Amino acid sequence: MKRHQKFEIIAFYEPELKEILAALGLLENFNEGKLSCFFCGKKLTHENFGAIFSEQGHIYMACSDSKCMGKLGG
Amino acid sequence: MSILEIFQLIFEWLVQWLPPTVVTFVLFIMLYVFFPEKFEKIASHILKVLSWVSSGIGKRYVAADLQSRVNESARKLEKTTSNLLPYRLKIKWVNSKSIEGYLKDGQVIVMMRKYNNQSKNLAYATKKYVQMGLLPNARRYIEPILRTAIDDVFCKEIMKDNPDAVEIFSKEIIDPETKENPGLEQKIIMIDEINVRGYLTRILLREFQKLNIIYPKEPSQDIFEETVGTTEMLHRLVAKKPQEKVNPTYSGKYINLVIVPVAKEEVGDIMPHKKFIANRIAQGASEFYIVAAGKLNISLAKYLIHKIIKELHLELKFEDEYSGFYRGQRMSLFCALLKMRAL
Repeated sequence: MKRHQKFEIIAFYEPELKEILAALGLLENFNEGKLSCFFCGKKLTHENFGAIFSEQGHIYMACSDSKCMGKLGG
Repeated sequence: MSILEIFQLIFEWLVQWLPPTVVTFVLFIMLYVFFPEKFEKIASHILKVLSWVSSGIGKRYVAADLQSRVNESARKLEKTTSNLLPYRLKIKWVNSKSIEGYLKDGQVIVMMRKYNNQSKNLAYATKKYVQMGLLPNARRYIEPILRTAIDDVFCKEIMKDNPDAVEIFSKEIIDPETKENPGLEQKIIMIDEINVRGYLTRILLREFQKLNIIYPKEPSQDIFEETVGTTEMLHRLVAKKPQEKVNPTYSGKYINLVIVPVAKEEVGDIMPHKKFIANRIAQGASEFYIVAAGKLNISLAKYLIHKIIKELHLELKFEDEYSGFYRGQRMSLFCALLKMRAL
């Protein structure tokens, strides 16, 4: 029987969004509408939130727009 | 003795000697070990029913359902060509305690929607999986717009049992892509037509898979042109009108293939096909895809293969009879690959 290597999608669950943002110290900014998509600059809400990533020690976020998600790569 | 017969024997023995709860437990363990995708599918159905109970169960359902759908499709597609998708999908959950570690490692962490929005999860997760997992080493040599078109058609194939996910995929992923890339729409249509004939996995991707031999060389324009040239030749063949003549050969530096359609005009006579293959062998061709549509032509194609294998020193690499579309009609189709035997 062939065993396959895994391709992992690392994810968090939508109902835990606020908890996640609180752990990263970003909840207040999110509630005040101050977080925006790194790629298109759109204001991030619960509905359009796509992903979190970091670059050179800074945390960034992307909206769920396919164009922005596509730019995230791996 | 087949694997099914072995299972039957084990099952009979278990029922005879063990209590029903233990038998059920053992069967689940066996299912998990031997058929992990089926096990995951059953688990996802159970979790779906219970999703409303707690967020934790909903979350487990989201992962189990995505993994079982995608991995089951990948397994089915592998029956025609192996190693197209060598990886299996795994959803790895992070929480508020573990997220910082993953971010420090440079990982991208995506948000999965709630269980009642699973079609959206499926559309986006499938795209991400295919973009990374389809022909992982060879994909960089496929011309970029063609590669996107192949990914998109492949994603639709994986999601075809979930029309809602296909709808979301078309609106939220394909539409913005086609607006941004002129020429993509045409290529998606082309790949779609190749796919419904069953040639996407059986011929085109099987040929592109060979490009991994040049890995890790940087992709170049001439490799891209070969991938486009092969695709256009295959498309001309599937889109051709009944009496139209199409050169069924592609000869490049990296990709060389000859398609031999066994069609009605030569019914009962394999000589034209045999001559054609012999001529191509004389010109240096070494691989031949024998294709046919409809029961009569399929019988003739099989007879042709039987006859020429010894005479022309060929070996049968694979053959597949399947259901697909030929000139708008669903019918039995056939595809086989013959290769020159090593001397």
